[in-house]
Amino acid sequence: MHYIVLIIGAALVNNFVFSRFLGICPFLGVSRRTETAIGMGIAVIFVMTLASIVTWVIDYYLLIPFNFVYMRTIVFILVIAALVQLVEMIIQKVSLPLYQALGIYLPLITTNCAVLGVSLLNIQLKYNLLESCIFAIGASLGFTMALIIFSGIREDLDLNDIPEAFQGTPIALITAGILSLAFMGFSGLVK
Amino acid sequence: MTLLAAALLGGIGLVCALVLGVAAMTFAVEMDPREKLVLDLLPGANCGACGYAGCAAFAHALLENPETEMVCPAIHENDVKKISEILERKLASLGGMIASVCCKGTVKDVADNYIYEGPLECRAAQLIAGGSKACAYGCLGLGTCEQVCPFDAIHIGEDHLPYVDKEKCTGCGKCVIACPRHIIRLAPFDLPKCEVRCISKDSPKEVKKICSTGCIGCMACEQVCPFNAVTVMKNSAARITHTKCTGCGLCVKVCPVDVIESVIELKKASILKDKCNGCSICSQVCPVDAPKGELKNPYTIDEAKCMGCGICIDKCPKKAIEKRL
Repeated sequence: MHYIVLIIGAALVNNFVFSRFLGICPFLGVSRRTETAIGMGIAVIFVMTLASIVTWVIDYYLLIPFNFVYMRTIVFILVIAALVQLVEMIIQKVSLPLYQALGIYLPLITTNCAVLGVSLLNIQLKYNLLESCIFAIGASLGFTMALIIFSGIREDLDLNDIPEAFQGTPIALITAGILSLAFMGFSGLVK
Repeated sequence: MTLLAAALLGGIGLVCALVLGVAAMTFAVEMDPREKLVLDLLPGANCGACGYAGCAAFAHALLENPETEMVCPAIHENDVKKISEILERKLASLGGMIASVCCKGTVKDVADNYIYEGPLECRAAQLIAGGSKACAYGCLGLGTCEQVCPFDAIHIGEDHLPYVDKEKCTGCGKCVIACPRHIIRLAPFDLPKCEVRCISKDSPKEVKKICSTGCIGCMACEQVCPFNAVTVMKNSAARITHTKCTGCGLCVKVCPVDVIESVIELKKASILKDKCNGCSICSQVCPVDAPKGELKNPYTIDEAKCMGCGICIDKCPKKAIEKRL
C-alpha cells in the first residue's frame, strides 16, 4: 500500500511538470505530436529509474561516508550525463529496435532537470533504495502522462482558429497553466 | 579538504570516462562509414521536419532504404548534391525554392490612380480603392514583403520594386502570402532561366495605356522561342514553361517592352578549330547569325552576337562547339 501511495503521490498529486514545475523544456519542446511525446516519455521512464538507483548508491556509499554531501548536485549531474551516454551505447548494441524507438530523445534527457530533480528529492525525502526506485517510476509516469495529455491538446489546438498574437508558444503556455490548475485538484489526496 | 573534493569529483569523472571508453569499444556498433558522411551534411538541427526522429535517423533511413526521398526542408542545395554522390543515386531536393517577383513597373513606368499617403504597408494601401497603382497587378512598392521576410532576403530597391537576395532566400513563402497583389511566387531554385516580370490579366490596350513595361501579349516571344517554351494566351501575360526553357535569351531580346528577364548568365559558344570541318550547320541553326566563316573552312563565333543558347552545340555533327569557360 505504501508503494502505491508513493506512485500516486509522485505521478498525480505532486506531478513533476504541473506542481513541481520541473522538466518544462522537454514538456514544451516535444509535445507537438503525441507520437514523439510517447517516445520521450518512455525514454524518461527508463533513464529516471536508472539514474535514481545509481545516484542513490553514489550518495549513500560515496558522498555521505566521505562527508561530501555539499557536492551532491554537481556529482549527480556528472553521473547522470555519463549514465545516459552509457545506456545509449548499450541499447544500441543490445537492442537496435529499442534504440531506434527512443531515437534522439535518449541523449536529450541528459539535460532534463526532472531527472536531476528525482535524484535530489530521493535523498531529501530520505527514501531507501526501493522507495527511490518506486518514486522515480511514479514521477516519470506522471511526466509521461503530462506530456501525452498536453500533446493531445496541442494537436487539437493546431486545428483551431487562434488569434495571431497567441499562436505557438503563448497558447501552449496558457494551456499548460490551465492543465496545471486542473492537476491542483489532486492536492491533499496523498500527504 | 578542497583538494580531496576536487580529487573525488575528478575521480568520478575519470571512472565515468573509463567506463564510457571501454563501453564505446565493447559495444561498438559497426556503422556504414557513409552514414557518418551523410549525417555531417544534414543540417543537424534535429528538427524532425523530415518525419524521422532527428538527423541521425534520417541519415540511417537514406542509406538503408534506397527509396527514401530527400525530405529535409532545411538542407542546402549543394549538400543534396554531395549526398547524392555519396549514395550514388540522384536525390531531388524538396526545398530549393526561391521567391520571384513578377512586376517590373516602377513609379516611372506605371501611372497612378491617386497619391497614397497612408501607412507604409501594401495590405493597407490595397484596401483603399484597390491600391494607388493604376495597374491592378502591379507592385505597390511599400515593402510589406521586406517587413515580413524573416531572413532579410527581400529588399525594396531605389526604384520601389522588391529584389530577392538569392543567397539569403530560403523559399519560406512568407512574402508570397503577405503580398496583397500576389505578384511574388515561389520557383524552383535552379530551374527558371528566363522570367516574365508581369502577371497582368488586363487587355493589351489597357496595359499599354497604364504601363510602359507590362506584357502586351504581342506574341513575339512565343514565335521566336526555338523550344516552344513561351505561351501567350488571350488577356494574360506571357508564360514560360521552365522545364522547356533553356535560357537562350531570344525572347528577352525580342520583347518590345523589356518585360522578360534572363535570370542566369549563359556561357557563350566557341568552336574548336581542329575539329570543325566547315559544314555550316551551326550558321544555319543559329538564331542570331553568330557563326561566321566559309564552307569547308573552320568557322568562328562572333562573341558580340552569341547569346549562349546552345542550339549549335547540340546540332554540330563533329562535336566541335563547346561552351566557353
